[in-house]
Amino acid sequence: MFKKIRHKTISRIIEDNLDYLVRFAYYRLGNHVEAEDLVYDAVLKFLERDTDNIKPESIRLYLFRIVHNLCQDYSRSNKREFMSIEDYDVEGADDEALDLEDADRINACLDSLPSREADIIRMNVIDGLSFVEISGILSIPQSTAKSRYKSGMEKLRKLFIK
Amino acid sequence: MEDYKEIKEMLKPRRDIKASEELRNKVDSALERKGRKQAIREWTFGGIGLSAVAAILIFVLIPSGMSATEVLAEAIKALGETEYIEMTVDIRTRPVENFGYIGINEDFVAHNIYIADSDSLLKWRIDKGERVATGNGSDIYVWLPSLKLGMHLSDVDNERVLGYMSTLLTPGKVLETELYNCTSGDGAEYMVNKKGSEIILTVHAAPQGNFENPYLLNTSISESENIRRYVIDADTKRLKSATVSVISRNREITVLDISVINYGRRKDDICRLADGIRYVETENQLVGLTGLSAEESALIVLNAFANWDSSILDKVMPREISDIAYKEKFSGSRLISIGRSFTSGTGRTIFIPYTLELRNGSIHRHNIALQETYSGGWIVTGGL
Repeated sequence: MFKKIRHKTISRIIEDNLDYLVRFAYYRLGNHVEAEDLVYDAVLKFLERDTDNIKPESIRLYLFRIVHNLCQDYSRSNKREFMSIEDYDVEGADDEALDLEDADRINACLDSLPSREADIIRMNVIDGLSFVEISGILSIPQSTAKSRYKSGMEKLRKLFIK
Repeated sequence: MEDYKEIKEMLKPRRDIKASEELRNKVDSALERKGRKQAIREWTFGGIGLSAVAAILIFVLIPSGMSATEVLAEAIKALGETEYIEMTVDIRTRPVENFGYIGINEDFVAHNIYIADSDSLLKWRIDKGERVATGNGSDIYVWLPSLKLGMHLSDVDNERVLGYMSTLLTPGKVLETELYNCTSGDGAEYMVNKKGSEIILTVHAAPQGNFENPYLLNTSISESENIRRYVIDADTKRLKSATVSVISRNREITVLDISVINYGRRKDDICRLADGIRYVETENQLVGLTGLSAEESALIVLNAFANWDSSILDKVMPREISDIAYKEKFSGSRLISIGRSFTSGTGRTIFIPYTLELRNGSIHRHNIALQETYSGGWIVTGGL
């Protein structure tokens, strides 16, 4: 009975966070199919673990942590190749192209920063993660996360805001 | 921290990226497979015990013309307009203990709760005499007047500091939580009944966590089989009172009773801090003991009490707290024995039983509580 309740809780949390996880992966990979495959792998990895000892409020954090690590692995082994608009000769290509354009716009701004600062700004501003969650995902103190955020934001301000 | 509004606006995604139906279906299937495996395990190893619990959990839904969801949605709407709430909550606990702690054999301790702006981010204060906490949506202060010692926490969920008590910070949140459970079905059972001008909502929930070792069973609301009863005014949809009972050995024991709720206009500054308290900043996390097992860490910490070795103890406990709360009692003590580690309940805490001979020759037995930080170090979180 208790395990059944727990399983329902886990299922609910995963389902509730699926959009956020896909968005998280998409802005790092720039490809819907690969982002979804990666999130699915992350869910499977999570379910393989002994989830009994994970507090319900930590499940979201674990999921983001796994997705973040998989994104990093992916980036190390695959350098993203940019696709031209003409490549999207399939149904939904317009949406796909607009999504990619938006991701490129954001990534172009953040590419001017050191990756450790860009990562934190991306997590906070785009993914909507709190500093508590960011410090958990990156295994760094909150104070470090905040100082990197501040430093990155100051640089962006100098670069883009007159 | 500065707002950086313009930069945030610049970086804001203009497109809404969502998971596809295909992914949702694949994830659903994976979850179903996992659920089936778990059910088989339960049947094989825990069938008899679990069916006995299930028999207790059967509830009958009495028709009242409103579903639980409708009742709660109405109540939330009414409470969203409230500016200030004062309530008295009696809880079986200890005056100095953490707010989340309950004990079915403890006496009731009155908690005075003050809430402003109950609909979203809120200011609040909980005072149970020997422990007081206040929060304003971003910062939380907790202090123990008798020790003249407090803590300042930022970017921390109320729930982490207050446990179940956080759901009492606003009656709206209590109801929102139950509404969420109603619609998403976390396994708790619900009953809605109308009696005169009152709507009574009853929620019956099983303990959350793993209790192969029952050390933490019935020490918090979530870690107990509990029945939560809410009395709502049928006309105004305002919460009038509430109780929480724990089921222990087939007996229902009331552990929480919201006896008084007053709605009104905001009064004084409820986030005011007490004078003469030393507030410890918790922004900088403890390093912890790394590269060791929990048991090895416990051994090192408990042995460090003998000479009060700050080079070790400062890594596992904030010095301001250990100096005031533990140094006098534990310095000069001798570790006699240490047991095998165990876990219990929902927490990621590891407990290690130990026996110390204190400086005055008395024997102290307890379970030291350790938690692993995200950077992999062990810190002490209780059990002294």
